[in-house]
Formats: sequence, structure tokens, C-alpha cells
Amino acid sequence: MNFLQPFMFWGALAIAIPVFIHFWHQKKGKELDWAAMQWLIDKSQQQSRGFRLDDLPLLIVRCILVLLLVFLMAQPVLEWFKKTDHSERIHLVEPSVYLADNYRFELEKAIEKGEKVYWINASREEVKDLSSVASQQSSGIMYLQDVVNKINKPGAKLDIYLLNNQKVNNQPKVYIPGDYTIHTAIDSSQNYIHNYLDLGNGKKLFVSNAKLTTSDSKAGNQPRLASTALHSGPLSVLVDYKNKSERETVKAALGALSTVYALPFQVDEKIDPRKNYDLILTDQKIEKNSPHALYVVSGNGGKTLKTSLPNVIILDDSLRIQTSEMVNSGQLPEYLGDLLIDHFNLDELKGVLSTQQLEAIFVHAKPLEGNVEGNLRPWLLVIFLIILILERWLALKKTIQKSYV
Amino acid sequence: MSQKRTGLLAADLIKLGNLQLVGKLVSEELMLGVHASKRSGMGTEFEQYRHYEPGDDPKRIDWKLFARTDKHLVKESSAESNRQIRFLLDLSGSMNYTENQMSRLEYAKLLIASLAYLGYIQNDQMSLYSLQDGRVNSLASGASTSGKQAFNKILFGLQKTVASGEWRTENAESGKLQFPEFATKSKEQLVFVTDFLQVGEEWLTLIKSIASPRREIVIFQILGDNEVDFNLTGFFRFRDLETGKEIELQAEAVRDEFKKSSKAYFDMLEEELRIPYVNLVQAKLSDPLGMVLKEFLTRRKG
Repeated sequence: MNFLQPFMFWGALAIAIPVFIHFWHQKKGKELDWAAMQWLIDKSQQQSRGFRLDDLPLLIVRCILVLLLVFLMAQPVLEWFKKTDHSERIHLVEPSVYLADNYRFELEKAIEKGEKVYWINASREEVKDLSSVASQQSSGIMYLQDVVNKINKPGAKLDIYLLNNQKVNNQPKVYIPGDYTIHTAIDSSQNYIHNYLDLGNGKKLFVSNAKLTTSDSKAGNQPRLASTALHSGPLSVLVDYKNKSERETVKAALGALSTVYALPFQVDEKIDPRKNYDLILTDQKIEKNSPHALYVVSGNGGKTLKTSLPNVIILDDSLRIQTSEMVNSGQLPEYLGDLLIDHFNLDELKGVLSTQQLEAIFVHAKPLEGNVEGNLRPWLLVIFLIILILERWLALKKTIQKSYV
Repeated sequence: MSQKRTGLLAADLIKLGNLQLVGKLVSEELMLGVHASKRSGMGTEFEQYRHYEPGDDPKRIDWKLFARTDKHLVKESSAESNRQIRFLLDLSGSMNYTENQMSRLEYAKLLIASLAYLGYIQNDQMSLYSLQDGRVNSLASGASTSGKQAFNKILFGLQKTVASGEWRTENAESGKLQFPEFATKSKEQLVFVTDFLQVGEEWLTLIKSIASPRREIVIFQILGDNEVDFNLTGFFRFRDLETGKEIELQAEAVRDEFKKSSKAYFDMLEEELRIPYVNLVQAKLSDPLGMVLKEFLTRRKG
């Protein structure tokens, strides 16, 4: 249950008013010097309690009245959790060897029991054998919402297995209708396999200690690298701009990058249909989207694009000194470098997410059962009125009794 | 009392502020039509001379006076009664109970003053004691305890009394009360004016033990109307006059219980004290004094 106006609960302090009235009424006895006390005292225990009981319902009713009013003003929004028995459990596993090893027991048991286990990836493959993890494409987390939408059934309970790393945090929020449990495994940095780019001549590019590093194969002290490079050979880049100054700026930025990190760029200024480009910088409309390439679209070219693709970066400004703040302050090379790191997943494990951070990513989607608040309010109002009438009746009855007896 | 309630109300009498006058008024009301003549006879206190009449004992002629005046005169003194009347006034805090501006203590004072006036007319010997904090104190007693002097002493003693303290007795635990003042063997009448609201077993035992043919006991129990009928309505804070303890109650809620237990108590008292030489007279603060006394006197005669 949520409240739209939780600060209204300060109003609950008003409960002091009926309590005060209660004790005020108790205080108001006419004083009388009395001698024949013994016959009063004999009965006082019972009678005194009896009197208090007479008054107590009124006090309680008034307290309820105040609380109900406060409750009404706080505008409760009820979520009727349908705690139905989960007929089904569905396990969604991010394809990762580490994760699969970590939860091997649970997952194998689930498979044994006939519960559905899916990899979180584009194909939403059902898992029959955990060993198939090796053949799976990683980077499953970005498909999580998709998988949840397609696979979740009403009444099913989702068990989601994720690697706990910063990648999760880069995700938009994931909306999950129904119940779910998140299981995470922290891939400790010792076991972290550094992705790298083979730049040729035995040079490898990877991120170590949050720094982009180029190393020779001869140099020792290398972090553990993946068995195969994500990309080998020089990076082919297409710089396709109509505006000459924009083209010059971008080329200069690439040149800077290339100089600092010894990145071998092969820069084309005219599109060569035979080539598979790794990085395409353009202000043109994208004719054919190649999924392996990273597109940086600036100016008018970006505005024509309707859908957002993960490998297309759209910049609103054209990349000229006059129009782009980034170019003006000389940040363009750095920005392009970051884009490349992201694109090739060179990034190190940046940190482990706390439980709170994790929970913040997942949102329990509200069931579409109409406006619950709208259903609740009239009922609360009716109860409020009934109790109000009850209170008036009790109070008036008491006054009448007092004045006519 | 089924008699018509007439006569002077205690509430009116108290306004006079004169106990002597009140005693006179009440007594005269009581003895309406009875000629108030004094009995004269032998006694120690000289009153008057009168001429010798045949039949008088010649021994009573004052011969020294005859030598001076050449007249046969007989010395007379007011006839002395051998009746001893002791008034015992309860001075516990509960005597301060007031109803309609009439406190129980005032009523008791008027009652004693009226009785003392009657005793004065009859030349009875009278003394006044108070009962306070479980002790009996003498307020008016002494060598000459009869006639006008005794009456005046009693009135003086009454005027300065103030009621306070609790009704309790030091020997209450042992269940035996001892008052050496009442251990005399002379013939006497004990008039006890009290509210008698919290009488324990020890008091009943004491009264039973000291009541005898020689000692007649009259107990005037003075009660407020509300103490008997409990005609209170509303929410009250009852404060105990003796202990100061307070109780808050809705009067209607306790009325039946109160009446029941008070009636049971009064019945018990009446039952216990229905023994020879003991008279329990219940008086309400609203009863006229004369009526109370008349009832008592007629009952005693009968």
C-alpha cells in the first residue's frame, strides 16, 4: 500500500484531541465532602471501572475517526497482492560460465524438476543442459526486459540470475509483473577475463586498472586476457561528412586518439561497400545498419532516425567548433575513445551493486486492474460516515442520560 | 417518624447563634403547656428563704435569722437530682459533613444544648466529653456539676469544639475498648451524639458491656438525607472528610448499591443495639430538633 500524501500522517497527532476530551470529562466531578465513604469504597472498584467502560467506547470511536480521516487524506493506493500459489517457476539465467557454475546446483535441480530455464538473450533459448552456456553469446542483460515480457506468465514466479556488475546499472529499469526473485553472483576481479583487441604486430588493446592500455606481447605483467580477441587487425573507420570543417574536426580527433594509444585506424572518406567498418562517423542517414559497427550520427542525420539502436550514438549537434561544446573544449577524442571501449566491451568490472541499487533497477509493475484508489475511497468515506454517526449517537446518548437522570 | 413535622428547624435555630436560647426554645416547644416551675427542696446550693408553714420540719427553720428578724424563715435550696447525665460528643472529621448549610456538628451541638437545658430545669448533674482520635476528653465537668453552672459550662464547652481527625480507636486491634471515664458505678445516663457511620465490633461490645440498669445509654445517630437516601445526581468527586481520600463516581451508578449497603448497615446497627438500657435514635439533619427529642422522650417513657 502506498500513500500519495504520506505527510498527512502528521495529522494522526490529532488523536490527542479525543484522548484529552476523555480525560477532561473524567476530571469534571463536582466536589463533595463526604462522610459515608465506606459504602462508596466497597463498590468503587467495580463501579469506577464500569463508568470508565461506559466512556471508553466513545474514546475508541473518536480515535478511530481521527485515524480514518488521516488515512483518507493520505490517499492510500492499495495494491492487492494476489498471493496465489505460484503454479510455475521460471528461471531466467544470464549466459555466463561463472554464473552457471555458481548456481549450478539450483539450476540443475530446476531442470530436473521440469521447471523452465531460459537464457537471457535474443533467442530466449530454453536450457536443457547447463553446458550449453559456453556456446551462448554474452551481454544478455539488455534482453532481460524482452525475455521477461515474452516468457512471463500470470501466476508464475520468476527467478532471475544475474552477474552483479555495473552493466546491470547501465540498463533502463526492468518492469516485471508478478513476483520475482533476483539472484546475483559477484564475478570477482581475479577471474575477470579482459576482453582485448588484437591490433596486429602482437599489440593488444585492453582496459587495465581503468586505463586504456596497449601492450606488446613480450611485456610481462599482463592481466588475464580472453582466449580470442574481439577484433583483430586495424580498425576500419568511415568518416562521411558533407561539411568539410566537421570532417576535419573528426579526423583530427581520430588522429589524436591514434597517436596517444597507437591505435591503427584505417580512415575512409568515401564509403566502400566491400568493407566492414568498425566505426562509422557520419551526418548522413544510415542506409543499411551493420550490427557490428558503431555509428556516431551527428546533426541532421540523427534526427531522421526513429528507433534507437544500441550501436547507434546520436549527437544533436554537428561536430564543428562553432556548434559543438564538446569539440570546442577538446573532449571529442576522449568521447570517441569511451564509445569504442563501450562498443567492444573492453570495460573492466567497475564495481558491485548493492542490494538497494539492484532492487531499484527492477520495478514491480502494477497489474492492470483499473484504478484501485478509485475503488477504495468511496468505501473509506462510507466507513468514515458510519463511524461519525456512531460517535454522535454515543455522545448524545451520554449527554441526554446525564441531563435527565 | 410518622408525626407531623412541625416545630423549629435546626437550620433556623443555628442562625440565632445562641446555644442557650436555642436550648430554651427547643425545650419549651417540647414541654408546650407544661408549667415551668422549679422544684425546691433540700440541697447544698442556697436558693431562697420562705416563711415557715405548718408541716415543715422545724429543724429547717433558720434560727440565727430568727434571732435577727424575729421571723420563722425556712432556708430553701434547689432540689438536687441524683441523676447524672454525661454527654459524649463525637468529634471525628465526619461530623463536619454538611447538607443544606447545616453541618452535623452544629446539629449535634443544638441537640446537646437542648438536652442540657432540660437537664438544667430538672437540676440534673451534667458533664460533657468529646471523643476525638480515639480518646475521651473532658470538656465540662467538675465539682459543681448541676444546675445553671453545669448548663453554662456545657454551652461554653460546646462552643469551642472543632471536629477533625479519624474515627479510630487505639485499641481497635485488640477488639477491646477501655474508657476509664465510664467506669463509675454511680447512676447515670450517657448521651452519645455521633454519626455512628463506621462502628466496628469493638464499639458494640463496649456499649453492650457498659449498659446496665444503673447506666442508661442513648445514642443519637445524626445522618444527612443523602447518607440515607443518596438522592444525588450527576458526577461527583467524593472527598473523605476523615482521610481526604477522593473518589470520582457517577452518583446514579452507585445509588442502588449504596442504599443497599447503607440499609444493611443501619439494620445491623439497630439489630445489635436492640438491648435493654440502650436507645438508638436516628435523626436526620432535616428533622426539627423538637421532634427528635420528643420521639426520644416518649419512647423512653413508653
